[in-house]
Amino acid sequence: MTHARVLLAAGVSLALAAACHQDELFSPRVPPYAGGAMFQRYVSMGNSFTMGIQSGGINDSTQRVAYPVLVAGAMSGDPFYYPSLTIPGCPPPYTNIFTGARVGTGSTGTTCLFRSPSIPPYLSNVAVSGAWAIDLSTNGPIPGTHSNALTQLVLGGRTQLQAMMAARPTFVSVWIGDNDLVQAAFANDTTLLTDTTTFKAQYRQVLDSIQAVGAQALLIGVGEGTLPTTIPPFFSRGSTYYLLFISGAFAPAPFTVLGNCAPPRGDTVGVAFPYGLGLIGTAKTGTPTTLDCTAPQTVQPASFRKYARTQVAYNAIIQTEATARGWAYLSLNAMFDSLQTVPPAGSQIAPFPNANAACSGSPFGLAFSCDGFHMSTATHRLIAKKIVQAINAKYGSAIPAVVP
Amino acid sequence: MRRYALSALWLSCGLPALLTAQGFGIYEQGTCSMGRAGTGVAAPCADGSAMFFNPAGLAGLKGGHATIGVTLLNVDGGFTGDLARQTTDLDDPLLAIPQAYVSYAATPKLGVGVGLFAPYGLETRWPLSFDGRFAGYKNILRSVYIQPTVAYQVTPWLALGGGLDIVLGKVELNQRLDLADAPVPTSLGVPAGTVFGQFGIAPGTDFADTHLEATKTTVTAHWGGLIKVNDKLSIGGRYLMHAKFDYSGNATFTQVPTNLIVPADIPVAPGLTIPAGTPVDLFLSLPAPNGLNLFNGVLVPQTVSTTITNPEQVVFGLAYQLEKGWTVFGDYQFTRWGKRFYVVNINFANPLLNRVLYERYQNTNGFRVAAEWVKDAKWTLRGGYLYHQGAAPDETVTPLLPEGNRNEFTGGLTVKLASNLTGDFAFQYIKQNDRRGRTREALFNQVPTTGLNTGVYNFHAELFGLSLSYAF
Repeated sequence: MTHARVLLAAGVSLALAAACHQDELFSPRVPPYAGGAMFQRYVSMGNSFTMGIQSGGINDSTQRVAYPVLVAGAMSGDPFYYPSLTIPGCPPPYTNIFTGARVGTGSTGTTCLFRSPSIPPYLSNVAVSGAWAIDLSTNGPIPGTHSNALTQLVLGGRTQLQAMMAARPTFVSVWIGDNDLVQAAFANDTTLLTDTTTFKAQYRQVLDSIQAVGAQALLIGVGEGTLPTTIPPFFSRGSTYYLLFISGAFAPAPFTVLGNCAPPRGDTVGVAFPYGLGLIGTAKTGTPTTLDCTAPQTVQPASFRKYARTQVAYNAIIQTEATARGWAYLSLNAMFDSLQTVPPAGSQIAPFPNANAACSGSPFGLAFSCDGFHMSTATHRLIAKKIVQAINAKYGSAIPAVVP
Repeated sequence: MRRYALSALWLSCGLPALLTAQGFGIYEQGTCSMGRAGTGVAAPCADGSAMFFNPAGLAGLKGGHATIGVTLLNVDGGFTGDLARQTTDLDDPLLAIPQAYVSYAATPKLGVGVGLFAPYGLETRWPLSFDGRFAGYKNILRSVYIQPTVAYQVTPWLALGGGLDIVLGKVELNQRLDLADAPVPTSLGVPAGTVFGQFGIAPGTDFADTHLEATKTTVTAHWGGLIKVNDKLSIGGRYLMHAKFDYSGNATFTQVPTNLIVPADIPVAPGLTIPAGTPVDLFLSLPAPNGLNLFNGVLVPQTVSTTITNPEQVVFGLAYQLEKGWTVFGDYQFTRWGKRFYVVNINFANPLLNRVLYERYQNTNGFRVAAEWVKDAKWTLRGGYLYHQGAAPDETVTPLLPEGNRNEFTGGLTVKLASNLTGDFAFQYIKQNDRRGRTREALFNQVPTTGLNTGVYNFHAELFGLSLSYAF
């Protein structure tokens, strides 16, 4: 009997020891702040803004400072993986947009290095440059889509939605719709605008998929400022050209700016810098040129008004959807608007590009990178801070502030 | 009929599942010994299983013994990933492993017999949804030992025994190939070492199924000795030599559709653009210049070879008879994994496919204790406990064999059913300590590190043993 008791006691002791659960074996888990579980795994969807394009190109150096990476760093959840593109990039960013010089010896606009050989287990930043609303759920070559080489390099044949769902996110941000709007402006063709009914349907399809995976979300409104109050420095106003002209800024080059560019009409005429600086460049060679603010290459006041109405309509759809689904909504337009007032005037958003400056000299202002359209690293940081504030305000969470 | 029965027995013995000793060792070779936690090198059970537990134990038996039995295995285990915290369970079915021993006392001092057992083997099955499918989703290693055995009572206190083992080996590996990890042919103008993942292909994109199968028969030997110190105490030891298999077999590959479409024109290299709309599956299979011709080029049926060695086992133990029918047992086992299972080279006819598995197993120690109580002439009860170390180091806990340190508890009984017929029942519970591991092999045959570990493997099992012994 004694033997049996000893054996029984030994057996029970060993069984208890063996039964200890070993939770500590797992990697660090829930982010340690109020509401942290919601931000366990963050996925960002969108276009070039979210992907991290700067200065007309992209590589690991620009990707790592994109706002989603900064937000994810503050969230402290699972590793945030972006599709790291090997330096010099695909295409490499400009080092001087006015001379066409890019990062890397001999790089051109068609240079495209592939992804880093370190392939992450899932993608957190699934955004692809050039994506419209339709492209989040549909890939090329289906008509109406806008896939490009980066679509393949980032998603490998999947859609952004499929990549998002594969990552099993707990929180998703969506910033899409800018290309539905601005590509029409770039092409100076309002017929290219995605109509609001179509936009709404495409946008809702994305949101339905996010709901299906059980994630919470932040929806970001369209725009880099309120149109036409704020426009990206890719465009200068006709009135800016006119005022510079009458001040003699272009002399002695035989470059003329017509009176139809004068304020107030010229305030709502957009002149893309490749066109405007092209005219000036030609004049500097001795050939007289003229900027006519009714020329088809310029964005006309009526078009501006249409873009502005569309921006308002898109954002109304986005905000309504966010409200209906109980998600956070953030418009960054007020933030961009306020950048115009930061002294000295024009330092953040240059009204006229400094064609003598290399990219390191911020020719489009400190808030924008060297293509006049994509945000600078400083602005990405500012956006990340606004996003964290918006999320915390909506969900009552305590995501630490983005620093610095 | 008899031939079919024997074939079935061999087949079943080769399906040991992820079992119960260090590395891919297996120790459940008899129901009686199973109830004793595998102890008995100093006093083997009288059912003929001495051929495995100590060949010398055949000496001094009276008459003949024939034992048949079965061990039922209910295996539970899985992998929980760090990131999704989602658990994938092993797909192993309920398995039945038969046992057979025939022994005969040719003289009062000379015992002979033939045993069939499988001291090494594994089978791990995972669902195809498991990320570990790229390391192996159905992995089988069989080693069936057929051991003619002779034992002799040299003196009243010393018995020696030995056996010649004819070992039938088979290895089978089924795995998926991940396009993300697959190298892009340099003929496309990309730098060597470029993988499809660099073109955006997501990890976990199956594009081929691989089946490797090879067999080999080899020979080894097994020795044992028993010393009866006095009427109460006996000590014993055995030595199972290593068995080296130079496997040779075949590899076959089957295309698995990715259903991916290239979304836009992709400039791969100067002069080469993959057009938008190209199905990736066609690109992989079509001959040049429109594709890579993989399934008629690199991934064609071909020979494959590898070498795997079952390590030596050295076991020492003692048995001590207490009062009132009680006997206690203690065994120690050393298995020389470190020498025998370190690097496995898998060599294909096309050397581009060659793989190197850095297993880096470590020598292991196992400790077993048990007690047995002969209640009366009809009933004998027993129970035990064993602990053994895992052979796999921290960087080699993989879907092929996610093993680790284990605590095991056993119980069993023998009942005399008739004057020459006894029945045995045993139960064993196995609890393996949860252990971090990985689901993937390192790329390009690199040496793995614990940095590849992505989650935790868990494992436990219940075993039920039943056998009948007939004395003649």
